[in-house]
Amino acid sequence: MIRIVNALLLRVFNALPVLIGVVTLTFFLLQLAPGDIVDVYAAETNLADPGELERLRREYGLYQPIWLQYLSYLAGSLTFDFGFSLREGAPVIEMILDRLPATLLLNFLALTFAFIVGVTLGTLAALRVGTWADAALSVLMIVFFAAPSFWVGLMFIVVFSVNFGWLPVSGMVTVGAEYGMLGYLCDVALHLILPTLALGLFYASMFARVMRASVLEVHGMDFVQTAEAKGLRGGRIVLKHILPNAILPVVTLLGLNVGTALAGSVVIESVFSWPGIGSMLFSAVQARDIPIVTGILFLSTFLVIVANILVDLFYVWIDPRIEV
Amino acid sequence: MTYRIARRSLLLGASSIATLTAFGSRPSLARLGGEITVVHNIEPRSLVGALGGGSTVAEHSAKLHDSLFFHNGTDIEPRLGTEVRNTADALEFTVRLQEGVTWHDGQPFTSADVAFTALEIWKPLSGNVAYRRIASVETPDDLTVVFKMSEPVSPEFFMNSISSGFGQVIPKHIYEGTDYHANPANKAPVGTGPFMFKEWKAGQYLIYERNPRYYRDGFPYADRILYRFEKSEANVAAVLESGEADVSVRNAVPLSDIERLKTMEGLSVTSEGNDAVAGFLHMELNTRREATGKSEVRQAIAHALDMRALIDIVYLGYARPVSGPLPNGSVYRKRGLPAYEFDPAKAEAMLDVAGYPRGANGIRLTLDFVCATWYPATRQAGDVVRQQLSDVGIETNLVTPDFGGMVTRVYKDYDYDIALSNSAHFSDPGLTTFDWYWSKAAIPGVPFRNTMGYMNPELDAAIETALSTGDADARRAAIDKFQDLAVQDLPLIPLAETTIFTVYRSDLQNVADNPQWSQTSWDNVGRDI
Repeated sequence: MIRIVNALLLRVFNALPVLIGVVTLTFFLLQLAPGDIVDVYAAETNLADPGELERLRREYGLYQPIWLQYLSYLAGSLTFDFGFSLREGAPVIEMILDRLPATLLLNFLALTFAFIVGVTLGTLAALRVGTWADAALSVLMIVFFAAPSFWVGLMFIVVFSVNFGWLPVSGMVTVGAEYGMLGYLCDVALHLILPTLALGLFYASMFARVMRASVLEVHGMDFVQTAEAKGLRGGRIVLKHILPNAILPVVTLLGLNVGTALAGSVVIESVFSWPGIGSMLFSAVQARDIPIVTGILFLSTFLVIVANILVDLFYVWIDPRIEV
Repeated sequence: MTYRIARRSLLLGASSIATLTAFGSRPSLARLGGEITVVHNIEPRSLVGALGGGSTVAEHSAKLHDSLFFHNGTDIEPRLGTEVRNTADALEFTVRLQEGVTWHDGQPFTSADVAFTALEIWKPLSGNVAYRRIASVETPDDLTVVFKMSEPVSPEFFMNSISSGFGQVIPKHIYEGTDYHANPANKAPVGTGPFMFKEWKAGQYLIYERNPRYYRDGFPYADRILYRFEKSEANVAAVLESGEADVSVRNAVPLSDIERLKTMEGLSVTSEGNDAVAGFLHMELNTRREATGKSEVRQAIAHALDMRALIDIVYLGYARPVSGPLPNGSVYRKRGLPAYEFDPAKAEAMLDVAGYPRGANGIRLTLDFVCATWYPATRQAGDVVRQQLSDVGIETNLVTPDFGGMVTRVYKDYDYDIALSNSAHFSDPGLTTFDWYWSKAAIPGVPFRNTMGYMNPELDAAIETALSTGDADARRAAIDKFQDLAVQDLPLIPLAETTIFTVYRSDLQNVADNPQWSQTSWDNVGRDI
């Protein structure tokens, strides 16, 4: 146990340079783009007073030497204080925390859905290898793997929302609806279905393909043959012997894709107007709102690191031979 | 001179007794109560138009804030103000205020609020010349405001300014002594308007509720206005089609969907209600640069551009040619201005004369061409323009920066020969149009104000007369003169006036019933009885 805790601490310690690197890189890359937040703010508000612009630049520290701006930003980031957004008129951390849950919820559901569906379908396909079911599943997986998820999302909207009218087009809640807690949850659940599917199906198909190959490989191994020879039958062999071994590559893939999914949800968030941090990031880049951009990138990096550590722990749980 | 508000008519020149019945043939009866759901792909940054922010902020702010007067297109109606009197020298304006108005938080609305807004917000923050010339504001009693000007301000221009979204009043007791840009009330305003702020979930929706204390009896008709935000333009049409929303304004629906939506049961499409807030696609020509500094070259460029083709290709026909600096719907627009018809041969001849013959490679000159990307159509227009210029031997280095890059390169560093961009124009040229041409409007670092570095003393004089004169006829003559010179000198080429569509459920009443409908209060919008 102490070994695990020590290893975890080491992991967390190792993550620090990564976080600092991300802040540094994004900060300086954004400095290369012409224009600052006050330029954009002035343009957006038609603010026509040079003195006021001067005052805003001074107040937001834009006249400070760049290394000083960088250092104060770095110090702020590491304590989760990303400053104040002039354009949005609110502290950056508040805005991010307001919208992060929506992104996390969508990603968590989509990846959970993808993991369960992918593992199940992949296993089924492998156990029925060579049959029409295997072929049908494989075709389906390839389709969802190849189709861009924003296109899948748009098609879902056209079919299920516009044509059939079963599900809401977009958003997270019905605007202006008044209902109790249960009604609210049901409402959010309804709004979640299409974006979760659109985002999740891509990963499900990826996981299913890997799972299918992995199950086939494990199925041919000696210990499975032995178990069969000992007279164990279908379900038990699959659950006790094949799955725990075959699932490891999928878990690896899951860990690797937490970051990708966060990025991919920027697109899905736009298609379904999901109120997460993805769309906020996009408009903040356009507006040169550096505190928001670096804030979101910092937090995303942080989440990916946390997710990877969790995946490592998951490894240990399903296969005790693996060391942290 | 006294403005009997209800009888003045500035926009159309036809005088009539205007009360709410003056909307004429339009039915203005609608059911009380109910909700109006609006779907839009652009979310406002703040909800207080007095602090600036363009048409999106104006659209929201107008539901929550009142201005002193309201221009319904034909007449000026009283709102927070009931009457204006000005001295003959146009140096002093006295506004009487409506009695018994309260802010949404219950505080009384008084002349102190108007004085505060005028001196602390309008004057320093907006570029409006009428406001810049306010020297002091006196409040002899709670219902009287006296504006004292440092220089004369044309009464007509003053009235048009305070009757527009630029004339909204914000509460002194909320803003005094705060950082106006960071005040939390910017996102949860306290106004005097027909609707009150209820809730804003960033990235999702905004809710306004009927103001039960609204001082205009019987208004608003609707109980609530709900705004729903879509990130993707394509979804706006889907939301309307699935019946989840009632109305979308300002071309939130892609133009390619318009024909289809027109044929849909229960939906209506109109291009009315936008005459006083026109959007131009235009080209700025940097007069500091050698080639574009010559008016012959600028005129040649205008002849080289096929605006009809541009409108058909880029806007699918949903735009109008525009022949001067003022929008087609403005009552100040001079008819019969000379147009630069599409004539590549003439353009080439003019370029020859101006000293830019075709070189051995067929190229006359190479220009830095910066194209805005804030609307997809502007970006597409960039390619069309580039091709058309190339046909007459003008090669271009086309760059398409994002918003921040565009602002810096074109509007701050002035680092371009030609820039393709967009501008908004109100009926009265003093509100925005003059800013593009007046040499004194240019402020380094402040965008959308004579970025071309253009200077013509004759044109400056015409603008200054139009801003200052107390004589309505002299003002109109000056505005005519301004238009003549602007078309002749062409520091800026207006290419097209975009058609603005409103799509709405057919049972909504009083949609598009004034010339800047999306940016007004909607206090009379409701469903069929």
